[in-house]
Amino acid sequence: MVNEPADYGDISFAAFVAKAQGEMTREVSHESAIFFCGNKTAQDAVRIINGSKSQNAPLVEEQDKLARFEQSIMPHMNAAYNLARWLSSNDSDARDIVQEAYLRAFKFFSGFRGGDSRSWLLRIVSNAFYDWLKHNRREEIGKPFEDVLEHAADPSTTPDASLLEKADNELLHQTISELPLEFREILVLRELEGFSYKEISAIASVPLGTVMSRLARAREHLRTLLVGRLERGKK
Amino acid sequence: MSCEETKTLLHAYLDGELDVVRSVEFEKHLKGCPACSRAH
Repeated sequence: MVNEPADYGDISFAAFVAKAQGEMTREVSHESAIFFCGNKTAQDAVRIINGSKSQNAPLVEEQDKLARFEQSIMPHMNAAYNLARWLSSNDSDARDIVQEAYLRAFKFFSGFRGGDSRSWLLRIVSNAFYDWLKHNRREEIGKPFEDVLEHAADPSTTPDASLLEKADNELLHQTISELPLEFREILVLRELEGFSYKEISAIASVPLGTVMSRLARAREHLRTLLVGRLERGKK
Repeated sequence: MSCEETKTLLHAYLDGELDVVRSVEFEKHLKGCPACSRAH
């Protein structure tokens, strides 16, 4: 599987909701269902999410919230999608996760006190993913990583740096996608999204020391797997 | 600092993510440990 770039370029929240209506692929929570069904505009969605009693209120505050949301959170949809795609290894699952994450992000947006909006959003994506995982692929949680190394190279052989350079993009992506979940998450946040260790710690909800050791191990595993594949390809 | 620890810290060190105290410890260990300085 090669991850294609996400196609959510410059999209408004309302347009995203409209797009989501046509794309919902599985059962969603009751709230999401209300949110994504029918000809609701984003303002209607705001009213539903906030549980506003009044149908006729001018909704100035809510429109202001929507404007701020569009400005600070919407531009990170590609990053959100890419993370969800790397974590779930599946296109339509990733879309569902992103939709759920954006719904939550919007709901809790008033709790966002400035700072880096991208890492704030990706933390929600990560949480949404793990909730999704619990319901859909429980067996993947805590899968031991030794499984992955079954067919890997003999670790005693010296990795050949020139071999690594030959690893093309497709092989690299394929190999990353086969890493255990917790390594994949940290690796993607670091190497593809360029977050600092501290930011990763906040997004993935793990201590800083864990980020350090997971990233080191993720890179070692990636290298071992790649070398194994390239060695086999050579023979 | 143990040799096992330096394996993990190497990545953080190269990423520029180690604080000053640990960076110094890391460098000190590397200088004093032939096995690690060869491996890294």
